[in-house]
Amino acid sequence: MSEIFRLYSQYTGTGILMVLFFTTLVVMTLNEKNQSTRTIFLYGSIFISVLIFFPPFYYLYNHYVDSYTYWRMWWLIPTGIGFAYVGTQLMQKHRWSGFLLVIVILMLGGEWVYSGSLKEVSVATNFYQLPQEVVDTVDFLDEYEDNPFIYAAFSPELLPYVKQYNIDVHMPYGRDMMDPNAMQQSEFFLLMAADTLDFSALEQHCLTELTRYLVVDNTKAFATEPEDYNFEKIASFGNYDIYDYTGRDWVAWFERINNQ
Amino acid sequence: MELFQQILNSIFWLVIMPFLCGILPAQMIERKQKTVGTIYLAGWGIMAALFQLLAVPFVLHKETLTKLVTWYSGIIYAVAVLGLIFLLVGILRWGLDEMLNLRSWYLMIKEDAPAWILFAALLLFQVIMSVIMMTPDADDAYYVVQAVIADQMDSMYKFNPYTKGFWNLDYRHVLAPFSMMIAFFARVVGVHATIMAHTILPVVLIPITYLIYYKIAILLFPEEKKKQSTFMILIVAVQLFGNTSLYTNETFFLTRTWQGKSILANVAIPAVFWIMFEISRRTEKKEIARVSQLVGWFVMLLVTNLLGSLVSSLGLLLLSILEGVLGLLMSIRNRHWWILPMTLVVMLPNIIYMMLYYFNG
Repeated sequence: MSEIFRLYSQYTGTGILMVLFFTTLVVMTLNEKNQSTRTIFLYGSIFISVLIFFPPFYYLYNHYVDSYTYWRMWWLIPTGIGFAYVGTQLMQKHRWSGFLLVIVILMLGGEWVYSGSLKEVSVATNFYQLPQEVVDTVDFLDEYEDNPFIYAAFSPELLPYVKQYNIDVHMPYGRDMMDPNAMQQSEFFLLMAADTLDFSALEQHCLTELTRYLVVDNTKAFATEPEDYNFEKIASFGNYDIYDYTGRDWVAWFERINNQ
Repeated sequence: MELFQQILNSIFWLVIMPFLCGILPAQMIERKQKTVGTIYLAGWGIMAALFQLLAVPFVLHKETLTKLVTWYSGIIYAVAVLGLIFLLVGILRWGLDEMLNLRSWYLMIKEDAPAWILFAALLLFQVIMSVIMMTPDADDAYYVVQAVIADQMDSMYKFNPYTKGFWNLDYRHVLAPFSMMIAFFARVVGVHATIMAHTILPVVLIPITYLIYYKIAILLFPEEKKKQSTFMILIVAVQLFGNTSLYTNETFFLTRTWQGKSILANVAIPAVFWIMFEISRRTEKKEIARVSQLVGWFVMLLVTNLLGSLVSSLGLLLLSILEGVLGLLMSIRNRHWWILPMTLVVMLPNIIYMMLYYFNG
């Protein structure tokens, strides 16, 4: 039961929407006379709420569905519809002042969706709506690289976006490495995710994991100098530098691969 | 010129085709309900349902996206042409206004213009924000990349989207192939799948969501037009300030609009409430008038179930729970025992997909 309440608390956040919704249920219970409205929105909401907090149901869901998505059950409760319905009934005589009151309540207890406080929100700089550094980096590598494919390792925070832009970028590790439940962690990924970058270790992985370019966060500290380990800086976009690993003759290497 | 062509293609596939496809299913609903909005919603529903029915076997048989696009386009064109014929016949018979209930829109706006103008401004604000603002989400590294791979490599769910190596079919996502629908639209419109997902689809999905809420508003306040506009503005307020956690449907609505789970939370689930409410209204009394139209609403529920299956594998379960609960309550309170079994019948696709997932997943 405590786990259900923990999930509930996680879902509701500030709690204002659920408080308003449960208030509307009370109002509906006392005032609503329409049969269908009571059936669908009042009794339906109560039934589903009871189901969500019913420990055997939670056990079955956890056991046979998965443990990560139980919070989506709260999507079945029509919080917005209920609040808007009762709010409409209550404020009809003083509509415009009612709107202001609602906005004040929601501003105080809710969260403006474009504030970026919970989820990153920023002005899009391209139609893909991807970080511009990803677009610029991949476009640069596409021009720079003669081979049809780009073999590059990226700083972890860029991983989710690279293939959304260009699937011809081959990466030694993908966004799945960022999942804390990942079955196996890539050592290459861990090196690139470290606060301090060690280019001597990175060189080994470039050689063994077919990686020519490194796209690194240039605000991080370097334990070793990239130039000492055959990494040549070829470009910079925002907070990211691109290094070309020159310790292998890539032209001859790709020629051999393509002729096989 | 290319951009102009893409805009025309977008309007054709995302506005005109859903409208034409919606005319046929809308024939099952009573004429006064057959507004432009209902037809458009029915069209999206039928397009999603047909896509789900076609895409899952195509993916399981490891077919190419091109083959799926060819077959699906053919079917959709046929439905649209039939719809166009019905529309033209209807216009000749009853006139455009009567056929599409255009007058109801005029009366609605005339009754309460200031509130509707405010609502329209808020809606336009959200649509513009969906284009000019970005809300990157890590889940797109799977779903959107699968759409990009499908469009560019003509291969559906055969490649690992994280590293592009081969991998086995993942039943959880294959049975809800919404990424392939994004790929389909990207292919026919002629844009990159990521642009289709992030920039174009939200322009359509946000108004669709509010259209469903408007249908609910009409049911809640059938004769009170001013209350309908008030309701809609309050819904907007909840959506704009409902970002109280990362998990609320309001957060998903405006920051992850293009994702299947957001469509489940903000289109499919509200649509179930709308349709069940329509069914409940028609079965409140002992004697049921116009049984044939009731059948039409159960068909809409079936279509919504297929939409829910398309966009999210969890949609199978969530919609089943919701419809089961509401069907049971309606059977008891409206004293028509057959409502629950009928609800279970239209849940059959969900049950079949759930079994496929359970035995293969």
